[in-house]
Amino acid sequence: MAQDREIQGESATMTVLEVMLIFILLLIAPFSFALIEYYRKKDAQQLDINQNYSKDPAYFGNSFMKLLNKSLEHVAERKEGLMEIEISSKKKERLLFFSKGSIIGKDYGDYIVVIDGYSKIEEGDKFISRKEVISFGNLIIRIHTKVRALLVKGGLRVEKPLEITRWMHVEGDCYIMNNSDLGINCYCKGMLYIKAGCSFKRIFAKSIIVGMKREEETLHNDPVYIKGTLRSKEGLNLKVYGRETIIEGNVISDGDIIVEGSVWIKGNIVSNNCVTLMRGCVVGEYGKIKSVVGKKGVKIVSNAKIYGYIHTDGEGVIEV
Amino acid sequence: MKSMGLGVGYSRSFERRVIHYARHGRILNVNKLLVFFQIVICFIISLVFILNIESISHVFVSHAIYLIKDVSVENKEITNSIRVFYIKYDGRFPSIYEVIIYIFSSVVGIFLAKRIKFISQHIIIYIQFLFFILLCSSMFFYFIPYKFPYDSTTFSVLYILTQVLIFSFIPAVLGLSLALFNVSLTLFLTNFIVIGIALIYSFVFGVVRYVVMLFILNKFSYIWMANLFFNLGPLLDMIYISGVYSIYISIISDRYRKFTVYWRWIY
Amino acid sequence: MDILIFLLKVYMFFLMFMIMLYIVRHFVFTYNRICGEQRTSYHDVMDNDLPFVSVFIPMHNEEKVANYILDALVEQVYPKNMMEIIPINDHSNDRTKDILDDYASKYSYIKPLHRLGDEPRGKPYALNDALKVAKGEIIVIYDADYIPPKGQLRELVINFIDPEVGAVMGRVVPINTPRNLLTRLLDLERSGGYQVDQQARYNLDLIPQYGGTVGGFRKSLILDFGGFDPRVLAEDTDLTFKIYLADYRVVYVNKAECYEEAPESWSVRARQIRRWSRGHNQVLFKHILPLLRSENLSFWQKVDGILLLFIYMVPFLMLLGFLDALILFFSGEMEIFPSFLALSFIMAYNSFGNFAPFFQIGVAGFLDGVSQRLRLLPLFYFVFLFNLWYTSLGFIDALTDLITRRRAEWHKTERFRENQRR
Repeated sequence: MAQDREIQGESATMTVLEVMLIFILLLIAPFSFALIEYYRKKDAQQLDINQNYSKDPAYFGNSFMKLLNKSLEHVAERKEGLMEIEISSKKKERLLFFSKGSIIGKDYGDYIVVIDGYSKIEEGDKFISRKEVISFGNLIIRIHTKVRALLVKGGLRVEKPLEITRWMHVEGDCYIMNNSDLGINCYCKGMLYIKAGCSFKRIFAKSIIVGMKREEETLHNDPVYIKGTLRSKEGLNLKVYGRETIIEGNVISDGDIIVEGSVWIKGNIVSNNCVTLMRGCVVGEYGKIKSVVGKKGVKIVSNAKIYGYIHTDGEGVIEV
Repeated sequence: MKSMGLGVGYSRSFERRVIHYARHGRILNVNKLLVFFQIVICFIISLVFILNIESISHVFVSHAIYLIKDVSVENKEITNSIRVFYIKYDGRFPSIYEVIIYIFSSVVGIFLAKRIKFISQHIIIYIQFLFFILLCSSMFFYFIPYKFPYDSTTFSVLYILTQVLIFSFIPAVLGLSLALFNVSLTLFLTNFIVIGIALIYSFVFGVVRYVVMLFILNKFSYIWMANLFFNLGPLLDMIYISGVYSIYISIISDRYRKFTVYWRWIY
Repeated sequence: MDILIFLLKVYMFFLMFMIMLYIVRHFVFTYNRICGEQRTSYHDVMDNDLPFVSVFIPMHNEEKVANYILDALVEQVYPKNMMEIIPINDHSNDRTKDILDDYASKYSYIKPLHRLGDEPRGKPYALNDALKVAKGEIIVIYDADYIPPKGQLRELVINFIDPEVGAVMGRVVPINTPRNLLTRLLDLERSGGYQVDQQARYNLDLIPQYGGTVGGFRKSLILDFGGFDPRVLAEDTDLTFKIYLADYRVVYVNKAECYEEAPESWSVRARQIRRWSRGHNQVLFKHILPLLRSENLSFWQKVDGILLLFIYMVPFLMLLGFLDALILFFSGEMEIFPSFLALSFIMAYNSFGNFAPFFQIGVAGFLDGVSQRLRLLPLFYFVFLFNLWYTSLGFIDALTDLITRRRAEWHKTERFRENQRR
């Protein structure tokens, strides 16, 4: 084995003690940030869990209404015009009050628009608000409207395109007669009739009726009953014409689910991919809440009726 | 408590749908190409270290000699083509009195450590482990000291080889761990800076540790060699590697959680 | 002697291979969680046809925490006519019985089960007795120190609309994180284990574990299995494997987060890991062959199942690895290749952060949106040996149980919360 003596060591620049000290410092240094955080406790709190959270499709509307009502408690008289209120503990908001009647469509900027009764938005080119719009009565929209959020304490009829950025909350029935974007969360306490193309993420209503009404109570002769849940790892394609098929259970798949024709699914439809409902299918039953959940998308084509809830983390599209 | 559910954030421009993704389903918009490149480059760096043992050991040792007096740098051939440079610094065997003292203090240390109330249990186990290794070593030197198979040369060569292995592990370990955060070119580049910092720290730490170990073997005898390998070895390197990683991740976590463009929801 | 040295080296390489396997596994999970497609559970489904659920809360001397869990369950939005709460008073000799009777007098759906006689004590026995009286088709279990949010019961139970689902598991979050170093480190470890590990296993259709609390299962299924096996300390892991072997699966609900109380002292933590290790290794001995022979599991599920079963045995193997390396060292076998040193590095890499490697904890923290607490990672260095030791002791306990057919005695984890009187 070659053992060449290469370099004669020069005099060390440090003593043994100094080297030991440096070693100890280098050993401790990686712990220093850990110890600083341990003693400072800058990020020591438990992960925050909202103990009051429960799934509630009316959450946005209800919580906003609570805040607004609290702020308006101190307002002696609601009269038309501008007002400044404190809507939350940190924010002051500007409110624009309208009494019932006809509202002119224009760009209302950063004002929260409050309409105090039955009204129509029908004059002007476009109605725009970058904040919430609240109507304490029925509301008819007859011009192109774009708002961040819409809360209607009565019924809503939309005859021109409506664009919601965040949420909408309607306490009566709702009629969408023109192409609209229903925002991230659309809640309707009554019936929701959709007769035009729409995009959405979440819709909740007593019944969601797309296109022409289909009377599910009228059964054709000799329907086929399937009792139980249809479960598939691959996709599921249910296409029925001529003879009614009633599934008394859920339809679940890891792949796409396509339901077309005279199919009545009394349970839920859940897919890890996309759900397509076409031409006459019904999900759920009157008086009950059932869901259509398509992780990557939900598409409703032509006629369909859903009693309850539609949810997607992808794109929700309605084509009539 | 504020809600961590699907909260709705407020954007300056109301047209943009801004949702602050909840923690149960959010994922990063990782650039898979950058991930791939980072892993490949890091493994290439690791390979370069392994294939250059000789030059690395030379650089290593030429820095170490500044910390220690009256030594020489020698080299030893470990395979046909590879030589490892090391510092020639003799250690020594323990005397019988030293061995007996070490046996006695190890036994006492193992049993007494448990009785120390102000030290947490997890530290006590660590102390007991140190004493256990010392006890094994002491027993060996008591019964069959002539069979001790190492000297300072073999120790040095082994240490240098291990150090090169650690150098090559660092880009691999950190490369794999940090590649997961490659959402932008900036992060891709800063990842390499972090790996560089870890390598520099490893080099400096390795040099100082080497010299300290040589001192210990010279002043306190070969009885400590087992502990040097088992407790001052690669397990220790994990401390600064995880330290560097944790500091870096804590900084980018703070910054990047606010940028929704780097996140998406469930798929 | 040569043969011995050879065998020791073979063992060393075998151990390195095994640890590399776990590193690859953890890395795949971490990568999948941070940027892969996430499989969601059924929590987005809204359905008002909910099944009747029985909530079990095993309790032994839980006067410090009983009020918290019961208050939280009373607040649940689950329809009260579709649920019952059965706190199981298992031979308590503190005020637990009085507290439970007080709640029962106020709420008709709280029906305590008092086990005070000569029946054997322990969680499996308590659960089996509760199964006899439970009316629910779905059973949800909470440990007494948990505090479920209002909507959690619904979030867990809705998953059973899928007939393939045998059990469901939520995420556990320590509530006493700020208390001391141990609780802070456990918080990080929990994050890694749930946010990354469990979710990734669910995403990849492997075997997410049912953890015995913040979780539920079908009553019919557990009755088919003959109830909980009282010989096994880890009844949750036992149930997980029984479920998969019976061609059902476990759904992991990352959204269903629930507070728990992490151990606040190292001695309590030591007993906890030792018990977990003992129980888990009992499950290993029981299910390893059926797992290998099962026709209901895919290849990758079997691989994951095997790695999961061995996870509490690996620390014992590592301890043997240390001894192995010590022998090799004193035999002069470190000359050619510093294998032990490479091994110890790999071991540290994998085990640092203990049951979740450091990069898994880092990613979990990143996803949770925390930052500064990640700087505590180097402190896991001191916990590595602690975990190794007590997990190994648990394995030895399990081995002794197997050989001597000894029955395990149930010891519950000590609580630290002060009781809050209503």
